[in-house]
Amino acid sequence: MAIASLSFDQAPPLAVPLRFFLTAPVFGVVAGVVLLFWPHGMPVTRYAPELLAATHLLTLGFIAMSMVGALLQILPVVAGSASPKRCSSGGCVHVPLVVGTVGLAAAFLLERPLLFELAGVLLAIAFGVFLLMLGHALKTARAHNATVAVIGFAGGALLLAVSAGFTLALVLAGTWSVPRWSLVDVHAAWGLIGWVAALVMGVAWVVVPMFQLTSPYPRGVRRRLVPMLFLSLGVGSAGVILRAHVLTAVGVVGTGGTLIFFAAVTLALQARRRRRVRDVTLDFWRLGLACLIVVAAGAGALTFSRLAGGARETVLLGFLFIDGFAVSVISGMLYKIVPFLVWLHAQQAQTAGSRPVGNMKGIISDAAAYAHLGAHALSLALVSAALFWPALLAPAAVALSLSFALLGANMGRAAWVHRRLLLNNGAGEQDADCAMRP
Amino acid sequence: MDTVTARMSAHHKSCDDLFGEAEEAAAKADWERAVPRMRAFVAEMERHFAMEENILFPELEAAMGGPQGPTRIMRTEHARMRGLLEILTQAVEVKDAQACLGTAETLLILMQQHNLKEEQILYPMSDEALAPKVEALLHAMHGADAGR
Repeated sequence: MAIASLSFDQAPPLAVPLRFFLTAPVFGVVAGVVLLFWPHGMPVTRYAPELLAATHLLTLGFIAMSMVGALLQILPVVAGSASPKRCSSGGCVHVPLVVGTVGLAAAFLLERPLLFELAGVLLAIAFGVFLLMLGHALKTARAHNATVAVIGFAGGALLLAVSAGFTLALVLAGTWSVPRWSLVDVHAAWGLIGWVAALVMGVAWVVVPMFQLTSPYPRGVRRRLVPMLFLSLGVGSAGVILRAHVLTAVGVVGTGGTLIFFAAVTLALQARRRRRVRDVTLDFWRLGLACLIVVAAGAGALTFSRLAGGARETVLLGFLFIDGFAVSVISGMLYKIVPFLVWLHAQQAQTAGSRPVGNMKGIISDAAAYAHLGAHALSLALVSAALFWPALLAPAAVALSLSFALLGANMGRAAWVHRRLLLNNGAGEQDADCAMRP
Repeated sequence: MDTVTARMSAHHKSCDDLFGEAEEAAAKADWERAVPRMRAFVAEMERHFAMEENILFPELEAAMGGPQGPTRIMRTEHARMRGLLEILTQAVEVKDAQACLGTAETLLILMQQHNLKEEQILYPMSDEALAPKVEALLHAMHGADAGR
């Protein structure tokens, strides 16, 4: 073992993850604005242009944006590997991801072939570069644990989802023509479950015991659950492509069962946690896991009951997965990651021997984080209801934007504290200390 | 065979337990309980740092031929945690719940990511590099522990 080469100090500059965390909430705000312009009386289907635009603003603009930012930050800690030297600012992923997401949303709304091509290429670049960075980090990883394995699995799923998405963009641009409806299901399943849910699971193995002081997940759960999820996804995808309904049903039940099992184990571990204080991250996770159970059970019920129409219900389940599950758990994580990183970087910037600066709750207060949680829960309820009572659409869209605006304000405040601490470093240590106290 | 990884990871967990009890008492403003719990937690943390800084790290550094990156960074993080432990102790003594909970949250994350690095990299590395003398080392660490 090359002991001498080991260095723990590999975390990238704070600006790298922060640029992703600061732009992500903006896309959530824009998604709410897009919903506001949804024409009244339009049938609710997942293929409505406004809905497709809003969906991708959330999945690419918020979920992928935050996850990529977090991965660029945590890979050196979890995988024990060096952060990539080239593209050290994260800009070669961030810039095409931002422009590509805006382009894709505009393409759906304006139905312009050229925009689909442009967005497809930019997003392919963003994820291509990111996956190369991820692959490099995993290849040089020193620690080999369940989380590192899951990140590898999830990366594979992302590659599949992006390839399917890129093909769909070219189909919509009129360049290519392949049977696209089965491709839509494959794209959504591998993006949302193979990438998002699997990554949340792999991260949960580490952070749930860490942040709430719970017992560790049983070894069998950590090692087998994600492979089971991928097996079910594979079976379901084969069913969709081959139009073999039995296979699809087996895949849906397997996937749903695995997700429910994950949510139930996590909630049970959290119920027996050794840290008994009120914690906003815990509450965001509980909300997210409850939504995950509803979505997984609902998807199973939809598959078997063949509800008349079912289009509204499908949109509801998609929304509850994206905004109810993924956005909730990511928001919960941000309230741990961001204040800690700001605090840590302030510490590192200080001269040796000086007093430690403030604490995390002086960077983002509990009150501000809980205000966001309240707005987020309200927006979930209102948007869900608006799918069935269109009169609620305007207040629902406003609530959705407001919720992301509160998250953005909290992230912005943390970035502002960071900037002030850096400016004050040395000359105004005392000021910085006061700024960070609650 | 007993290993550094097993023994020291178990001690991390017992420190976590003490932390959880002290933090909960402070959150409930149950200062009668919070003060002794926090003292017990701080004492156990100091004992853990001492086992590493006085026995484990020097052995590891000797095996590696001088102070190297990993132990140096672990010592730096110990110093950061000591700073927070000091603030936490003061906050409990003056019954400042807000400072107490904010500092506890910060310490928890710092402590957990530190433990993760030790448990996944540094301890397994020690078990490997110091294989012939792990038993003796653990005995010495236990002796230092019992001698306090």
